Amino acid sequence: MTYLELAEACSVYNCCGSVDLSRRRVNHSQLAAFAILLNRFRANYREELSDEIWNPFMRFMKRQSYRMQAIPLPFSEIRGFDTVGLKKAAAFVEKIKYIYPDVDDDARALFESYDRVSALDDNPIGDLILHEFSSGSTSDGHSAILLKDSKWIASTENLFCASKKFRKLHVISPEDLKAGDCYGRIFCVGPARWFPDYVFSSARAMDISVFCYRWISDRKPIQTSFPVGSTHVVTSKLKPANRMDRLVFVDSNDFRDEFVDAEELVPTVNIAGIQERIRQETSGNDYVHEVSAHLFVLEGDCLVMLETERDSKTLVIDPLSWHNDNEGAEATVNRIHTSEIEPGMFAVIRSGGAGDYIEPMADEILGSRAAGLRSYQNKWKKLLRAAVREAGTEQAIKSLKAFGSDKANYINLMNWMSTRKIKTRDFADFQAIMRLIGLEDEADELWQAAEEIHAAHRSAGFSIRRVLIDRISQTSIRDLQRTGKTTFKIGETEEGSMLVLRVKKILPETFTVPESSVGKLLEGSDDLWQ
Amino acid sequence: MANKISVKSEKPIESFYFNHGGSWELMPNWAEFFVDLGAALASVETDSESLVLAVATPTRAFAANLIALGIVSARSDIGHQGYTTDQHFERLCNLKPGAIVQCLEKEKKYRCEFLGIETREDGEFVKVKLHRVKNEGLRLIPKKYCHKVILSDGVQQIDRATSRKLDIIQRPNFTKHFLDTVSPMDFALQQRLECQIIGRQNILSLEARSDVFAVKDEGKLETGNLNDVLRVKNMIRTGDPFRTEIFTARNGDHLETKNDIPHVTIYDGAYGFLKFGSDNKRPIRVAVLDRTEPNFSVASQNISDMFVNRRTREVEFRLNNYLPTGIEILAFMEAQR
Repeated sequence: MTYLELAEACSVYNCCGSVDLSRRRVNHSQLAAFAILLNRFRANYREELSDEIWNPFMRFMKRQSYRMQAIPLPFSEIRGFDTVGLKKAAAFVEKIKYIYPDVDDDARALFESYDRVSALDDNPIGDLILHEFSSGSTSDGHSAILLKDSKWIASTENLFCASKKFRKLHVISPEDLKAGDCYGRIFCVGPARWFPDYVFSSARAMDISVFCYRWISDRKPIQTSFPVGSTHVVTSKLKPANRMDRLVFVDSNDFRDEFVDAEELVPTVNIAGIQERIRQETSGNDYVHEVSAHLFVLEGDCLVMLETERDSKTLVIDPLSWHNDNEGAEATVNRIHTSEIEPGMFAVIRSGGAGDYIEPMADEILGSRAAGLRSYQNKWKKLLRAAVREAGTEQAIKSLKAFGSDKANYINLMNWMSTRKIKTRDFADFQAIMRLIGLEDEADELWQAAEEIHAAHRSAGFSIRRVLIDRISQTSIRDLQRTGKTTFKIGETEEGSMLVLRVKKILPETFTVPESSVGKLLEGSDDLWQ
Repeated sequence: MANKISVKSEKPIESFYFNHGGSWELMPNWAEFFVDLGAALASVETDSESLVLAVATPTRAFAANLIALGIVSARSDIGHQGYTTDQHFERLCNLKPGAIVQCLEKEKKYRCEFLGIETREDGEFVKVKLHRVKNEGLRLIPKKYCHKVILSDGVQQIDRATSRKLDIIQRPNFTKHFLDTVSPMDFALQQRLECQIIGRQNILSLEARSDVFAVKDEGKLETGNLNDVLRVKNMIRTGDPFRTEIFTARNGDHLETKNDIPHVTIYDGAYGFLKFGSDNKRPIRVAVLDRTEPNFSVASQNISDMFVNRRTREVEFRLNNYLPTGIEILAFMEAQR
C-alpha cells in the first residue's frame, strides 16, 4: 500500500475497472502421476502415516511436490534445493520394508515417481509464460510473474530475467501488489486459491492469467467483500459496463480431472511439533519463567515466538507508513506493541538465534561495567522469582503492598520477574521488592544499577532504530518489500548482527513458552512444516 | 424492520481537476464518488440511531481525505446564515493579533491592524490600530459596534516572529469553490469539528498537503490542496480554527479521550476500525477498508455481523456519481447507546 500518488491510484482504479481473469490449465503427465500418487498415498495410509517415523519422508515429498507445482523452474533445479532430503528419503525407502512391509511397494513407487520427474529438465509453466510473454504485444508495458512465495523470487529471476529480451518481465509476490505499481499483464504461477483475493479483486493489471496444473482443483468466482452483500447506489449517471460484476475465471482450455485440492498442497506449520519442542525445552529445568506468546511466521519460512501480552513492544518496519521524501524512512521504523503487529510489517530479530537484540548493544554501551551491573540485576530477579514461587503469586502481591508498593498486581509482578523488564517505574515499588527478598540494605545500589542498565537499553534502542532508518533511506522500502528480508549490523561484533524479516502470518494460538525462547528464531524450520 | 433511509447528495462538485503527469484532467469518477459520498453523509441527521458505512476499495489512497472533503464542503454553510453581533464578535476573537482588517469610520473604510480583544470594567472592546496617512492611532471599538470591523477574504496576519504577512486563507479562490454561500474568510474563522480521520497520520497528512488539485473559476485554474478545505488541526497554524482532525490508530492512543465528537468519524483502515469502530455514540462511522490490508477480511466480516445483528434500518444512497468498479459499500443504521 504505502503512499500512492493520486495518479497511481487512478491507474489502480483503471485496472480494476477492466480486468480480465483467465486460467490456463497445464499438463505434464509425469508430474501429474507423482502428484496424484502422493495424494492417494496420503489418503490410503492415513493411519500408518500417523506414526512419527514417516514424518521426514512425507514432509520431504510434500515439500518437493509443492515446489514443483509452485515455482516455474526446471524440475531438476528444484530437486537440487534439497539433496540432503533426497538422500534421506532414499535411505528411508530401503528401511521401511522392515517396519511397514504392507506399505513398502507403494512408498517405493512414490519415491521412484518423484525420482523420475525430478530428474527432468522440464519447466512446463515457465515455458508457457515465456511463450505468452514473447508473443504478447510490446505495448503492454511491464509484465510480472506472480509467485505465491517470495522466497523463490531470486532463483526465478535468475532464470527469466537474465536475458535483455525479458527486461520488462518482473518476478513478484502478492506483497508487491499492495503498492500502486500496475502491470500490463500478470502471470500467476499456481491455482488462484493460493493467492489472496486482492490479487484479483484489487487487480494491478488489466490481464491476469493463472497458470495451474490441470489436476489441481481451484476456485471459481472471487467472493464479494461483504458476505452479506452490498448497499445499492442510485444515480442518474450512466455506468459503463462493469467487468467486476462478473469477476470469474475464464478457463482457456478443457479440464475434467481435478484430483488434488489446492490448499492441501501447501505446507503448513506443524503446531504439534512446535509444542513438543517447547515441552522438551522446559522439561528438566527446575524453574522456568514462562510468558504468553504468539508464533510468527516470517519470510523464508522462519518461525519465531514473540511475547504478545502485557506491554511488550517490538521494533518493526511498517512499509505502509512509507513515503518518498526525507521523513519517509523515519515514519516506517517504530517500536509498537507486539500485539499490534500485522502481516506485511517487518520484524527485527537478532541473527544467530540469540534472542533479545537490545541487550548486547546495551552491554557494549556499558562497557566493562556490563557484567557487574547484569549480575546485580540477575541477583534480585532470581530472588524475586524464588520468593514468588515459594509464597505464591497472591501472597507475594499482598506482601509487596504491605511493604509500600502501590502498583503490585499480577501483571506488574510478572513484568518485574521478567528478565526482559529492567526495573519498576517507581522506586517505592522497587523498595518493596527489596524488602520482600531481604535486600533492603542494597536497595539504593541495585536501583542505581538498574537505572544505568535502563539508560543503556534506551540508548541501544535509539541506535538500532537510527541505523535501520539510515538503511531504509539509503536503499528503498521497495527493495525490502521485494526481497522480504535484509540484514544489518551495529558495531563490529557478530552480536550486533540483525535480521529484518517480513511477517507473513501470525498464528492465532497462544503458546506458553519459556521467556528465554522469545525472540529466537526456531531452528530446523524444515521439521516445523508439514 | 423499519424502512430504508435514503441518503442523498445535493449537488456535485464540478470543474474539479487534478494534475496527471503535468496536465490538468478532470477528476475521475472514483475520486468524485468519494467526495459525493461525503457530501451525502453530511446531510444525515442522526438522533437515536447512528449510521455505519463500510467502503471496500482496491487502494485506500485518498479515499478518506476525499470523503472528508465532501463532508466539510457540504457542511460549510452551517452556522453562517447572517451574523449576530455576538457571532461576529466571536469571529473576531478567533483572529490573531496582527491580522490586517478593515475598519469603518465616518462611513469610510480604513485598513487597520487587529490588536486583540480588551476587557474593561465597562465591557469588551475590539482593539485596532488604524493605518491612515493622518491621524494614525489606536481605537477601542465596543463589542456592540464590532460590525464596524470588517473581515474580507484578503485578511492577513502578521507573524510576530518574522514580521511576515501571512494569509489566513492561503488560496481563497480554490477554497471558495467548495463552499456554498459562506465566504472563505468566514469559513476559516469558525471552528467546528466536522470530521475525524483515524489512520496512518503521516500518509493522510501527505495526501492532504498534496498540491495536485485545481478548480476552474471563470475559465481560470485555481490550484490548491485538500487541506485548504479540510483545515486539519495539526496542519494549520496553532490556534487557528479547524474543521478536521487526524489521529493515529496505533501506539496506544485513546480516541475516546480526545476532544468533541465530530459529525463523521472515518476509520482509514481495518486496524483503526477494529480498534475503535465499536463506539456507536458517534453519529456516523465510516470504515475505509483496503482489500490489500492484512485485517481486511476480519473487518469486513465484523461489519457484516454488525449488519445482521445490530441494524435497525438499511440505507440507500442517491448520489451524483455511480459506484466505481472495484468499490463495494455496505451501510446501515444501528441504535445509539
